Amino acid sequence: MEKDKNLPVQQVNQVANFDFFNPTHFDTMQRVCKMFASSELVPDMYRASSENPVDKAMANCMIAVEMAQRIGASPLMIMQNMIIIYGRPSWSSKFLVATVNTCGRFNPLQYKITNLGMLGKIDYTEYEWNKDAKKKLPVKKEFDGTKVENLQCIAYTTAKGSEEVLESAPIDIKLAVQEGWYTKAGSKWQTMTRQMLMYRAASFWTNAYAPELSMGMKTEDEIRDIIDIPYEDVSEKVTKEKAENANKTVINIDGDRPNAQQSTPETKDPMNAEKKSGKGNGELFPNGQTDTGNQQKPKGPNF
Amino acid sequence: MELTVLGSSSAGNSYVLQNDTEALVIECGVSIKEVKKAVDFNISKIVGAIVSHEHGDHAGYIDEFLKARIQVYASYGTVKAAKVSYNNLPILYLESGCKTRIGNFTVLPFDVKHDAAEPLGFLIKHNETGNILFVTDSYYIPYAFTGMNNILIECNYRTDILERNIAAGKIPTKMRDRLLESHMSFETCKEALLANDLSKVNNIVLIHLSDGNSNAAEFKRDIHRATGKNVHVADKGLKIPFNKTPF
Repeated sequence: MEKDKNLPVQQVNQVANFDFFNPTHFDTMQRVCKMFASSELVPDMYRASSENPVDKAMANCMIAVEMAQRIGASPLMIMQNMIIIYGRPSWSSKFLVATVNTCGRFNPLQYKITNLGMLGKIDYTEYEWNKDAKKKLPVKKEFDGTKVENLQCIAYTTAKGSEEVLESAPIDIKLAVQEGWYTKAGSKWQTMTRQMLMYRAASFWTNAYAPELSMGMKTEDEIRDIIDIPYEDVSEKVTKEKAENANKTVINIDGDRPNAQQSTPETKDPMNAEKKSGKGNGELFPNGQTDTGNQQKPKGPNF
Repeated sequence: MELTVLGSSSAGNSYVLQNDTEALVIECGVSIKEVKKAVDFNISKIVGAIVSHEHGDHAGYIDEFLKARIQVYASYGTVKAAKVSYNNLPILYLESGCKTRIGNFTVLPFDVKHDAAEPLGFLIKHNETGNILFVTDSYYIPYAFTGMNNILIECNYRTDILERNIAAGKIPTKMRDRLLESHMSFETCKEALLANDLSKVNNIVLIHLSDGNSNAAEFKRDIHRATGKNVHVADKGLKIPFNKTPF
């Protein structure tokens, strides 16, 4: 039957045609990898040497070649752009951008940079090692960004054959500070601000619209910036807490309980006085008790 | 009395309650210049500024307020954590459960649930406004209130929008936990409103909506349907009459 040349042709992504469990494939791949491991053009971790045993080099090469087949890239390109950070493989940002630009599904990524004004003072959370908890715990800090411009970058492009603009989530310096990327020791965010904004916006764009191109791997700078904290789903805990405590104790501003005391600068200036434990100012609780100032702050409401 | 919204987002929060003779500022999260404009440069009528907690979008401009000789009120924990550098005018200390008179406003602070040192919500009373409930940055309210006439309540995100954004990779999963334990969802906001007697409530103002995890039009519509009250979304620049009754 003659094919209708006017019919639309569905573009099919190249699929991996190497099967680790097929002895013939595996044998062929071993020979290919041995060749790569013997080359002087591949990076150190893929090259057999006195410091990198041939078995290890070939194993690294096999993973790289398999990934190259999966995303339709040259094995050498994968080897040169896959970087191991903290023991985890990652892409260089420029490789990720190049992969999006050359995959054939999208027009080249573009960037929109906007100046949102001066940053001001920003609260951010840094994760610091806690000896007692034996894990990193969040610590609140303040960043003085009164002299720092809050630039915002959005990566965007269109899918080929479509006019719909696909935009990344906006990345700005405020976010970089709040996430702790900007303030990290040796951070490139302070010296190569625009470049880092573009790289991160491109990563976010890829995560949202073409995660298959990055194969779930982060970029090199993302891995350096983003600390993985063990994820704990708090939904259940929060739901239980709300069910037990929300909207329970009734308070009334017109109540005739003697619970009011005018704050005065002498007794309540926290800049000059240390807080006592508990309420400590002889104030009356609703049941008429007078706090002694030595008790722990009561768990119940102070009304 | 009139309510002016000078900011109601993570970029900065501040609200002004004012009539011809006096004004109360709630939150110091925007520049004093904005506040001066809001009171038509009659800064002497500002009787004070109350601050809920130390985060920059609520307390970032305390220094400017103090330099302008505006009395600021906040909890002890908030003041310590806010790192205020101007010390010629001490900040007065609010404590949960202790009423404070500020001009003709009576303020009763109560503790709320946020990842801050000592965050507070406020019940504010004035002859013109009646009782106002102000709650922001709290993932739930431990209390119920009687005799409210006007309400400003956080309605930060809706769970389905948040989950959709996380699934799309627009928001890191880590941020989900922080939101759940620090900000009020649409669902919790609605539950809190319905748990209270709203019979005398004139206005409900939804504040501190998230940029990406909320839908202002739907929030306004759904809260109105659930409560039958006048519902407003606190967009920057919003000015509404804020009295006991609509007349």
